[in-house]
Amino acid sequence: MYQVLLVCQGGMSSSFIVKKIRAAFKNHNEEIEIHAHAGMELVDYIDAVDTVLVAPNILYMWDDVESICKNHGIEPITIPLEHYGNMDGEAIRKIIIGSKE
Amino acid sequence: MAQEKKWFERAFVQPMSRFANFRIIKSISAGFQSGVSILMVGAMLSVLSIVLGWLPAVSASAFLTKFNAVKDLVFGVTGLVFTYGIAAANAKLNKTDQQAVGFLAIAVFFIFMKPSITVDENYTSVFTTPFARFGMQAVFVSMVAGIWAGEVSAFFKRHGWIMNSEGVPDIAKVWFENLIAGTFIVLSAWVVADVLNINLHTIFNNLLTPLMGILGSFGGWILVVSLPPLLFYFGIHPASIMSLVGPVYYAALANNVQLLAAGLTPTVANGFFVVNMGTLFLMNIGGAGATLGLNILMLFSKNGTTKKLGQLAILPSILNINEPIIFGLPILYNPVLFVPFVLGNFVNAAIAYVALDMGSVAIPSTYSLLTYLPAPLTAYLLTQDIKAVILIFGLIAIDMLIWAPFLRIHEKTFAIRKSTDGRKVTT
Repeated sequence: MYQVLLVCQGGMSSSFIVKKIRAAFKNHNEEIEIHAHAGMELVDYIDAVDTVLVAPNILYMWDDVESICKNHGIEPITIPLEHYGNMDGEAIRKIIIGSKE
Repeated sequence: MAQEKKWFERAFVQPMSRFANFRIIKSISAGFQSGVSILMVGAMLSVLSIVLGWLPAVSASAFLTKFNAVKDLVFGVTGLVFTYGIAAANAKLNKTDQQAVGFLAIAVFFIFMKPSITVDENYTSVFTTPFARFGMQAVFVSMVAGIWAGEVSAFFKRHGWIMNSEGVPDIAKVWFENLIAGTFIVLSAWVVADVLNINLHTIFNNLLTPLMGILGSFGGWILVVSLPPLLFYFGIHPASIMSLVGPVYYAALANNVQLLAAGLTPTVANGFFVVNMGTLFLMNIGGAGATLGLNILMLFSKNGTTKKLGQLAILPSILNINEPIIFGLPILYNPVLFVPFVLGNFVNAAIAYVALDMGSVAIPSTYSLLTYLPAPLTAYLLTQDIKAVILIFGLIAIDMLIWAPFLRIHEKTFAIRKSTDGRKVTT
């Protein structure tokens, strides 16, 4: 099962995206555990996940995010602007699955 | 566009990212954010208080007075909440213990209050300090206390100036780890407050008038309101700017709340500040850049792509979350939409300032600082004046007029660009 953390500035906009991603996985009858949190909270939740997605609105803290993830052996993935903006759960689903192959 | 992006990066994004990334700035904005939970409880109590006030049997009763007292108490301790929040955020960034640092910051906050502790005839010691020193007027002191506790603890830890805790059970380690730093933090705060007799609250209160002369003037206000969409356009979340204007605008709002509680009508002549944190929240119409008007236009667009995004984004937009539009349309790195993105906020801020200054609309004088409520509702809670709701609807209509021509140009150029890119045109 995919265990994913999506971080954005305050965890608000990402929670809308998370809903779409869950729906995309459900459409394919695949299981995912995904949660949205603020970028600052990354360290609190990273232990429970194997994939970290980063919203484009916190790319300014990319260096921090990357170093925290690397310490946990995770390669963070940025969500492309257009997928994030269009709340394209299906496209992000493909990115999540692609990262595991 | 690539060229433009590069230029932005060098001249603006990099220095601003560095600023937004600065540990102290990050701690303060995260600390403010963590205080939202208590502000929301207070705002809920305000809503209940307004509703209770409508009931004739309750409106003038002692019950309502009691009820309002608990509301004021919840809002009244926000300074304390921010102190802990800022210190804990700073500790998180410094990888020190959040609780230990947070508690130290609270101790410092109390020392800076300079309370008098006296023993009354029943041998009970009585703690006396102006209540304002717990609240929003004290946000500046919260910042000082939180950052001092956080940064000094981290400094001691980095230099290894911690008690050697070999053989101590793990659970006790954190107590000893902060013992030397904590003692120093508390003593240094005491030296400042009691030995040198420096009262940070008085200093900041004295600074408030000149600071409000700048940040509360028409020009300063326009600049503060225009900055978030600018930052957002360049890819920096505007929350970081709040750490600079925050203490000033919070204190200005606290001043208004106090005057309102004294029974004055919220006008400039009565000493209310037109510009304050509440007024800033009033401008949050769909998120930074006044994008609710744009989103409404998108719903009626003839362009299929725009319309679909508009439908997807309308719920977040109503809740003042505009990332879908900013990244989806996109507004980011899009020169055509840059103009209305900044202009919309600019015009809104100017109109609102004039309306409040002339007394056409009540000046925001409550602590209902809620980001994720629909704008007209927030406007009512902040001012308790139905004219503020009308103002917001008027501003949304004006924003639609501002956005309309630019959205049309965007739809045309975007379709062309997509087709020349060799990608599918989805209109």
